Amino acid sequence: MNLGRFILNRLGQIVITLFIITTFLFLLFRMMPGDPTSMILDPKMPPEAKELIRKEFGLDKPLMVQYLYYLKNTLTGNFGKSFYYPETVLEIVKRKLPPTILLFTTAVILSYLIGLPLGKTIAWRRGSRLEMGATVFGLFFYTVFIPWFGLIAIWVFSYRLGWFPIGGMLTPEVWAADVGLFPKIWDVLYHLILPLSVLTLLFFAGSMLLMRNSMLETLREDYILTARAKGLPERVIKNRHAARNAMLPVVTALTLSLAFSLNGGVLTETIFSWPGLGKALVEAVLNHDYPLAQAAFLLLAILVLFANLLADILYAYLDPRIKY
Amino acid sequence: MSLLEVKNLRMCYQTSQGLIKAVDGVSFEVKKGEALGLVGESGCGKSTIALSIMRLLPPNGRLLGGEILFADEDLLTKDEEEMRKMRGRRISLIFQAALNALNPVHRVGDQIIEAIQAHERMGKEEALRRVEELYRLVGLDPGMMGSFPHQYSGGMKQRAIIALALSCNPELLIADEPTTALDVIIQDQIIKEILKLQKEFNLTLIYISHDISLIAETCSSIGIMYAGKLVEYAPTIALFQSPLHPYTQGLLSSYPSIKGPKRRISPIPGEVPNLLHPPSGCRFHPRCPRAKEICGKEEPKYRRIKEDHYIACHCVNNSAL
Ligand SMILES: Nc1ncnc2c1ncn2[C@@H]1O[C@H](COP(=O)(O)OP(=O)(O)OP(=O)(O)O)[C@@H](O)[C@H]1O
Ligand SMILES: [Mg+2]
Repeated sequence: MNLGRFILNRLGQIVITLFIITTFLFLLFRMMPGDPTSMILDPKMPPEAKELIRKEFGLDKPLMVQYLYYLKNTLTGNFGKSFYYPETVLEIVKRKLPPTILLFTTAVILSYLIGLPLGKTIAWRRGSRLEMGATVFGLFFYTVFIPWFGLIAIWVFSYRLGWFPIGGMLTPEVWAADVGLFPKIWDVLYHLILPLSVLTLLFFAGSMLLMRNSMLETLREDYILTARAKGLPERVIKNRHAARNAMLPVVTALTLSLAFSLNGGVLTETIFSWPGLGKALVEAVLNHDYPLAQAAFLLLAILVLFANLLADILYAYLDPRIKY
Repeated sequence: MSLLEVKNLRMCYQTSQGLIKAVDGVSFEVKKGEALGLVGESGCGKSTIALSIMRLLPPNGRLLGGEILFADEDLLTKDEEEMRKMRGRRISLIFQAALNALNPVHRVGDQIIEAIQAHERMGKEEALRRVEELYRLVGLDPGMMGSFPHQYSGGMKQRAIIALALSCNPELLIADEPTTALDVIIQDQIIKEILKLQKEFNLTLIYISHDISLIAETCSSIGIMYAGKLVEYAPTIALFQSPLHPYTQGLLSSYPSIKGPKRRISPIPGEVPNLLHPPSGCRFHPRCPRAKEICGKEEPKYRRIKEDHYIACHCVNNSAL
């Protein structure tokens, strides 16, 4: 089977999976306790007004009819209006996505840029002090609780030392003023550094340990002994034979991490007052904001499914044994 | 003149349970152009000797003493970079279980070119031609050079590994069970190939196997190993005509002979000793049909008993010959 056929097949699977997930999401939110309209409806409203609002959102229709509407709208990319915010769901996502990418996706990329070479090096120098230190360091950050570490970072660097702002993504005054692009970019960077550093530290531990373990496994392979017996220089054995092969499982993890990063993280966003998607999503669930929650979960599902597809394609590209 | 001389080599593996003395006082020499076979049951230290010569022991391997003289230079005193320049260029190793010996993500031809270029300043074109030549030499289609290892059959992989081992015209080739992973017919072809190449290039060969009948076909002299020690060493014909050590005798009678007269196959009773706590005295004495009192107490000396015939056994004395 060639790559084109493989991708088509997988796309078909993705469509079916998405349909199932969409249905599941629809049912899930309807089965949750609590009335969504209670958020928008004031108990003091006259019953006719309540009825009008229910009608506006289509909540008076039977469940099956609601479901069909919902399917049709989802298919046409119409995710409806938020129950909670005075915006459409798409507008909210468009507003929240760039900050999320700026913080979370950047953190994932940075953490892999640091984690992979370091993981490679410490696996190669197994048993050295560097390896012990980096592994303990990595395990610490791998297991540390984000809010705890984030709050300490804010307390030390923002509150005591005053190097960084306490939270937020930008200073409204700077962005309102007519100061040109550079001060504005600088303002965002200034807000970004602390949360980005904290997240990168936390994520990097994972990628470093993953690379280390994968590399240790590769180093036990017969072809590494062959490479030594050939008289290759150490550097070539490390890079062309060990690290190149150790990258295979890491690529899958990286693609999935990138997909998940677009979803943000509620705890990080709360602590750093970062206007990302993660918090919006959790609030949407708590507020019975069906349209927003459904759309956000669907977005996540789509991302993960496509990331998997991408990982498979990359894997086939990197590993000649795999053919589709 | 001997190309390789191993003198009283002793090495062990460090494990959580203690030291495994995998090679304990082994001495032998290989003359230029000669083929030496090393035989012994699984776990007796054959591969450990091969890896010691290449200085490629795993991290828990420790050299305890001895010398390995290659062309009159002691390999054990060389530094890592000097050793690297020896590997693949002057001494090649085809190691055991070699079916995964090629990296799955690189083309086989490239993996051989890489070995050539690690030792010789040679352009890609010239190296390619050399690999083509090597492929023909070992009976592979040069058209397969651009393929990946998984596209090769087991026998083809082994041929490619032989081509790789010969790519820099080494003086010494160590083949550690080069055919165990292959079926019998391919096994036979590969052995013939190695023999042909050995004669053609006047290669010095150390051939390691647990199969003494295979070694007999291949090698001019044979070393018999038991539990980390060399117990007998002799020219092949002498060894087959008059094996002296009880273990060698047992080993020879445990293999059926197709050509020779019919005889009963009698495997040696008992088990290979644990090298963590090897038996005292002669390590073979618990299984030896001729064990005497002294055998459990004193270690027999490895000594020359006839021209080119060495043995370590209390029960054989010069007068008995
Ligand atoms: N890395 C290691 N760590 C600990 N012990 C080891 C290690 N490698 C080998 N040994 C032990 O050392 C002894 C000799 O092993 P070696 O591989 O040299 O035997 P061998 O004669 O090649 O056996 P086989 O015919 O099975 O290949 C065995 O008892 C084995 O269990
Ligand atoms: Mg072995």
